[in-house]
Amino acid sequence: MSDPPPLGSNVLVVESEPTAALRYAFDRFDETEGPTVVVNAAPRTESVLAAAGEAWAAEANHVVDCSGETADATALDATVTVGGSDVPSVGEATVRALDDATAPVGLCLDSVSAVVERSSIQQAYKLLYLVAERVRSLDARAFYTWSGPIEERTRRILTRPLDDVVRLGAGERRATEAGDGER
Amino acid sequence: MSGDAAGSRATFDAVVDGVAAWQPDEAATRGLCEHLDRRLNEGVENVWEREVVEREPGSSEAEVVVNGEIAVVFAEAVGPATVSRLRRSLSALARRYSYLVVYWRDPEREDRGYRWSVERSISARRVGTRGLTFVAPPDEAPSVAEGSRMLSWSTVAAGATLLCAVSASLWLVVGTTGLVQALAAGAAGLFVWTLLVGPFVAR
Repeated sequence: MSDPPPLGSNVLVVESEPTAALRYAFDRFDETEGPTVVVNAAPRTESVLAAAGEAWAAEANHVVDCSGETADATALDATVTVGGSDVPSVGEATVRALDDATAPVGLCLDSVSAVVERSSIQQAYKLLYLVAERVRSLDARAFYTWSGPIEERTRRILTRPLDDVVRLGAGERRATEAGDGER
Repeated sequence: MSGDAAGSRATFDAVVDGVAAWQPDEAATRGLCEHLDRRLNEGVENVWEREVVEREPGSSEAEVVVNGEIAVVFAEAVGPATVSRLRRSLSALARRYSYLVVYWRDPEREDRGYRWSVERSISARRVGTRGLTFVAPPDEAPSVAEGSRMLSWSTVAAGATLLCAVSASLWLVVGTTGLVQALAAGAAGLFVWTLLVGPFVAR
């Protein structure tokens, strides 16, 4: 397993199979790190919660559910708050969760592809731009998931406010494109 | 077009309007960035609803980028190699941005016709973007009179084409009389002239 990215960094994880990016992110959160915040912005609440449940033993976790679905999260040993599913609501809920944490947190926002599908590339860019800035200022560590294929231009646009991109194939890290020097 | 795609297009149109209304100063890029930020975010209090306007200085990059997807680039002096050079440059930028606004910087009035022909030959589809617009400074924007001249050129070209067709028909039906030959030669000459010289008459 590769080393976790440095504190203050933001990484887009492109997955080809469901929840692979979530598992990749959870594997890289340090146990001594503060609580993990999962922002569930994709309409796949059950699989996100299942992946989170598998990965977590800690109690101090926080799920921000912005999926717009109603899911049974009681089995998950975590604080669950519900936020609106529009992009400004997802952003506000994410930043609030980061700010409320008592220690630097690991953030996993699932998923950017759902945000683009629900709104637009420009809306997703605004979300990533502002959240990534907050992650840097708090010295946190963040992973943003993308499910399925991604157009090259979309990848270039959305990774500009971020620090790294990881493509996962068959559960393995295939390549790292450190922003292509485009930042 | 979905509502959100329409929203992205609307932001592109707002950026075009903002660039068109810009009065350049010496600190061009910074000035344009501040101008667009002010204009696009006027009265917007929610930070999540603000448009993200960033500077992207560098010779091969866009000057200003809005929401990561709309790039404003500067185009300088025009010349015979402008079309191919600009098309290459815009095609490269189209791999990074979905919408492009090309701003003619310090344009010469004498180049106006040439610029117009450049704009006609480079389209969004050709460079591979969702939107492409050329913008000139306010005092260089095409006037109604100039638009009329362009329209009249188009009308002349269409008329010459029609005249060519009529002459060719007469040639075939009536035969090669002196009058028909003169008519055909005149029409062909006018047709060629409008195609070759027409784009430059708007100077």
